[in-house]
Amino acid sequence: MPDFKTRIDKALGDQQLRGAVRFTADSLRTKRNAAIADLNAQAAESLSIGTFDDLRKQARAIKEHTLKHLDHYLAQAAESIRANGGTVHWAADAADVVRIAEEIVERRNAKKFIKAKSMASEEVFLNHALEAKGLEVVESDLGEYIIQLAHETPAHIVIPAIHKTRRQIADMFGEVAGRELTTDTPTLTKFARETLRKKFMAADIGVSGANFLVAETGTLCMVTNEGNGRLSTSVPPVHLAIVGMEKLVPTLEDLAVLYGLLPRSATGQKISTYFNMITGCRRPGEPDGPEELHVIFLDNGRSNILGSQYEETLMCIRCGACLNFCPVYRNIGGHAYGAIYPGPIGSVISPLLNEFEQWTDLPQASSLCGACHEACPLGIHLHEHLISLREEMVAKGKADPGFTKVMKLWMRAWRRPWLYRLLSKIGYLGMRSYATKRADGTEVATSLPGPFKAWTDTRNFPPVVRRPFHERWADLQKEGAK
Amino acid sequence: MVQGLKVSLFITCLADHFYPEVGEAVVHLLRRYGCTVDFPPNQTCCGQPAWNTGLEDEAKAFARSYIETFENSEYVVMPSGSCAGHVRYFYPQMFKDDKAMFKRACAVADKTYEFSEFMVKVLKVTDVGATFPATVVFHNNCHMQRELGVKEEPLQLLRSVKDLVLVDNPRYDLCCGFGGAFSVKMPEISTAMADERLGIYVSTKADIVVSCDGGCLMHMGGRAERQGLPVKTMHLAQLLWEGVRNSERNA
Amino acid sequence: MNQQQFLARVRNRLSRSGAEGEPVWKPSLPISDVGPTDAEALTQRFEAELTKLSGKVYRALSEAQVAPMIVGILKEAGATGSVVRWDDPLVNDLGIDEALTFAGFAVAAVKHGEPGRPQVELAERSVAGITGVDFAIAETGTLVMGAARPGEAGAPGRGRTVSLLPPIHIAVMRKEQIVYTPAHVFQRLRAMGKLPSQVVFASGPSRSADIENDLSIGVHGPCQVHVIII
Repeated sequence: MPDFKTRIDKALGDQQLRGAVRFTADSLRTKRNAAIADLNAQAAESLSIGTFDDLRKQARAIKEHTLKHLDHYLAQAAESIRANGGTVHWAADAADVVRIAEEIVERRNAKKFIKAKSMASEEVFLNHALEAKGLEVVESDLGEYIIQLAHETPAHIVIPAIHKTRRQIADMFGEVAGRELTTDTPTLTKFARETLRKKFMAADIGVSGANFLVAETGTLCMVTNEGNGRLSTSVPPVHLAIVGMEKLVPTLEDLAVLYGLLPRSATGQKISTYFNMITGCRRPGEPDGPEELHVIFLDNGRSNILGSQYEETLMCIRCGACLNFCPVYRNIGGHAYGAIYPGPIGSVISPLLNEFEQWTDLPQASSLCGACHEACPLGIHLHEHLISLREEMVAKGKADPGFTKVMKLWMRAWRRPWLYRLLSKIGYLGMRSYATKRADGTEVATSLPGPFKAWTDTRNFPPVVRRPFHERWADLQKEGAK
Repeated sequence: MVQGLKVSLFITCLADHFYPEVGEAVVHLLRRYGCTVDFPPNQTCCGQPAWNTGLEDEAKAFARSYIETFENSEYVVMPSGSCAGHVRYFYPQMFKDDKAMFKRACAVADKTYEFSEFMVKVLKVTDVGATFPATVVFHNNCHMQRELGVKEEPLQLLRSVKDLVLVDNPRYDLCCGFGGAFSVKMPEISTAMADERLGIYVSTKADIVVSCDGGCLMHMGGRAERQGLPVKTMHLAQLLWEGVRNSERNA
Repeated sequence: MNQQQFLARVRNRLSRSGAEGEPVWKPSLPISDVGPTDAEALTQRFEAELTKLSGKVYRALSEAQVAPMIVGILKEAGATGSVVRWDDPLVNDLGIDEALTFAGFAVAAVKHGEPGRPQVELAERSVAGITGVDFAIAETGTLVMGAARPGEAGAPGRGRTVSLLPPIHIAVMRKEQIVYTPAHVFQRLRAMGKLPSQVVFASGPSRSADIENDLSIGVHGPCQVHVIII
């Protein structure tokens, strides 16, 4: 993968991408704001179960409690799943998931997979592993199907193919169809529906993730709009679910709070088109449904975060709101991050779930504006975690060594009053040769050396004044005495 | 109107070196409403650049210096939403494992105010009697709106200025891209953010973008000038003081 | 990795020994007095919400009106061919088979106790699927359908694919089945005990905005949703 700066430059130079990302982020943001306003208005009339803040508070309480007792709830969930005919597996990492999947493939002599959207499955690169064995893996979520055909990764957690134009989509679909397709939405949708319907009917194994998993009943919950989530988990004879261990909630009633927050925060919907609650596999006599349900509880770095100062990030319900509010994401899109999870949440959890050293770039890509925290339905303090990560990077010697050294020296001097004042003078004198006069006699610097070159490449910079405020105080004091 | 308060001014390192006239405006305006202003001479920086860069020890050292310098003041006022936000939001957090320092940090945070917040909430002044004919849009500094929760006060002050037309900021939530060291560590993204921010301001047809933070003004002003955009940037305190002098001249 | 190892790592990170007692948890957001309880008010709200989601709602003044309404819906949609339905008390007693057969459709009920591929393929071939509901939700225009009746040990002829595979979904319900908010359903499901293998909340026809943020209706799930309320 090219380095972060190169990826950023590429993204910033891609006007079509930036336009699409901005349009999507703004659309989702506007809808989310409207949904929250509606929720609050309804709450005032006792027509909703709470305001956004009420739900957020309760959601935090649910997640905090669950995480604190996660071993108990995992055990309870496993027992419930088994009691209903499901099989439970435990995966420490990606390799475990792949191995478990391969065992099932072998036993069932399976050849074809159909997938509902699952970020956890992307984390473990499941498609890649299965395809390497010559198995067919088809993404059924429309956006994921599009990027699968394009051989790309998602640009957004909720709407993966925002960067694709309908022309590009029509061309890719046309290749599969063996004929040219018009670019209107109904035609493209109809094609996807018919093509993927055949895949649903022919698949040996349906793969999904879970948005929530209720420990008390062992119920796996999926939030979708297209129907592919239901199809992938109802038609094929085997359902394989990969579930991050942080997805647990204690009881069915807790779903009301979390499911009340997720669609509103993600897309501004009061409710998603489908909410699928799966408890075990098909019961004796039921006319349809999978014969086998396999639930893989996935760690893959989550236990690193458990019990750490970042534990709060395990409360994330993957709504994508932080992406839609982030002023950095809207300019560079998801691919530039280079990680499975982009945007603010991705910048925090990527170095935590994976090799810390490989992801030290991402926490730098933030102005720490705090919009992510404000938007987050679980109130995760992402902007503060970014600072903590920067601290860890410095402590581990993983921050840009040159920059850090200069900063340290400057900061040590800056704190001491006499050095501070001395540096004022040096700053003023040092900038003299770079200061030019405007028409009105005021000064400006348009080209500075060293770390400030990055500034003046695109922006003008005010020269340090000859008489800083601290030198003017004496006059002001005299004035005040009069 | 509340009179006779003793206020210590924290100039902030940015205003000290680049916008001293903003400091002067703050002093004049505070005195106008009967405040006695002092300027503790050993003040330097709030330490936000160190904190944001992950230099925890250095950031704490700045915090200790600020706390020592200002803990005997009655009020501390500064012309920067981000510095005030840093003191109120992060200083207590930095010392959560040190009971004594935590207490001192909370105490000094409680009396630390951003300038417009102080004018409206403490001095109970929203109309300073200024005249300033211009179309203005207000830029909400991120830390001011989120860490300090100050959004309305600057608008209240601006709305009372005679001949000033205040236009709406349609995306008041959107960061300008300064972010301190971010502006030079990730300059391409920082500039792209400035461009979007400025594009929105230009579309409002405002002459001047007013803000309560030197960093934002420096970054947006510098980019606007480089791109030849038809907006100027100005600090709220400076606009208000010039406005007061305009009124006195007209009278 | 096995369960013991997995949980041991979790416990270790949480500094728990595993010998602690069961955690005490009570879901505490008060929800009982949210929304209207009057069946007519709930029905009207349900109708308004589902209509916003491009679903269609019909009010039947009596059970006898249901079957003709269904025929009407199918004819209006230009549907021909076979129709599949739940084998379930409310749906069974409405004379639907007779009315549809008379109108030229082939009707088949999902057979209780006869599992497997043929049932799925039947649904896949059908132009419409007719179901009842376990609950409906007024606040969101939602139908709640279990693959079997919640709380019962047996598995009456319902399944998952009748409301999913055919392009048209027709649901029949009584207005007394409508509750106000999703929380009410979760509460009731919890109280009913044993859950069926699947419970689905369906709110309108399937949709996506993956193509340039443009809304498509009828992606993988039904393209049309019609609800008849008695």
